Amino acid sequence: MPSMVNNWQPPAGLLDAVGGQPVSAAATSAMAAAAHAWADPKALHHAGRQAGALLAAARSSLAQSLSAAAGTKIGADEIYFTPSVREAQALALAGYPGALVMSAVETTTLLDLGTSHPRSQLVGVDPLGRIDPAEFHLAAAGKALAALQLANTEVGTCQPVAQVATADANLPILMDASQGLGRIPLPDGWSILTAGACDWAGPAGVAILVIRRGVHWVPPLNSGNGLLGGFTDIPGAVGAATALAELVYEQATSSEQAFAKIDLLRAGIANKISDVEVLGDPVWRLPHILTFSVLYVSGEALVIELDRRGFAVASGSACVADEARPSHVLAAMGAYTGGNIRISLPLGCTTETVVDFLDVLPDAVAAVRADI
Amino acid sequence: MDTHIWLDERGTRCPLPIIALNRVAMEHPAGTVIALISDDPAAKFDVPAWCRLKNATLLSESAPADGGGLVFTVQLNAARASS
Repeated sequence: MPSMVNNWQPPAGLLDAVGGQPVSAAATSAMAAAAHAWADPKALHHAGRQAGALLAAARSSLAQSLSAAAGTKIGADEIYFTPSVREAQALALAGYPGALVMSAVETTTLLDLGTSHPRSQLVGVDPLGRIDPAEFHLAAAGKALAALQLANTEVGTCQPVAQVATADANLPILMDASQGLGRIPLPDGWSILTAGACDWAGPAGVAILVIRRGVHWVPPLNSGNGLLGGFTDIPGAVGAATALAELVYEQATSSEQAFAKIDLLRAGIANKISDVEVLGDPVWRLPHILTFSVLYVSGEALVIELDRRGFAVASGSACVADEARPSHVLAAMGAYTGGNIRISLPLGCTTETVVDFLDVLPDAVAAVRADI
Repeated sequence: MDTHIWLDERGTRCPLPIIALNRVAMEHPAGTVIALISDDPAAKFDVPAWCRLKNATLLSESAPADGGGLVFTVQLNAARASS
């Protein structure tokens, strides 16, 4: 089969793919072709049946991609569509009114909603950002649900989900697979999965909530046919399915390439910049994400300076994020939180882009440091 | 105890408290104790991280007598990394 890598042509200098991954060419075409699917997929008339067939095909394609990523059969009827990962997570939690155990580096949605129960418990992480399975196991006693991410979207570190699942076979695990689904294999043992299509070059506004068969979870907004609360964005679901199929098909190649580029960046940044801390696990991590903290600069100033020099990056520093507190992830790791930059490679990112970034970074840091 | 330097960085925000701490650290020998007072929410995380990265010891962290912010007492060690 011909390579589909050409479907991913990110804009020059884009190194902020989390939330900014351009939609793949194939997904864009598929969505345009499905634009006529406006009808209620449950309706019995012709337009309804047509919409229903497209939605069924999208779910079946997503089920195939998920099965390939998980190495086990996942049925189309286990997939629900939601407008965002946050909503998928909120719905997942709504099915579990009891106490939760979760890592201290889960999404803010899970941390905000999941800690409302008085007996809910957070498990801290090591300096690389990983929980200790033994400590998690102790905290899991008597809990209704565990939340443990596939990998952290800020620093890339993978979590030992399979180990936790083995130690607590009867405890359902809600695994947020944001940024990981399609890029790394899914571990065994999770019960509920959330992920958003914009992470895998599908459209924003479509996310999936996967509930494994046999898991005791009551849909809080069930409207039948695997549809949660209202009409599904059918062209969006088609685009999401197309993009995930494409990424899962290319996973080995694109992930290997991204992994090597991040290796190059990790080494280059540590060599070229003084007083810098490169964060997260260097090996057991997402292929395309890297976070580092530069001492004596503000993250905001560095983001702006890099933008001026043609590179789009993100920062989780308190001085940038619209919050009074620094990133809960970096704080939990005991990392330096100021001057923080996150790089996330878009699909199709070239080695040239990464090499050019490494050329520009020392001057950008020097300029910002000189300015203070 | 060695020289005790008082550094009042109340009202400044990340990265200024750490820049101030580093500037004073550069000008003083190992053994020096610096008391940094800061009301930047990031200081609680960044002062310990700076100590780890720059071979200094965080001796204590406490609320100042007059309320606002935190006082971090930091001792500089020998063989600190440069800059």
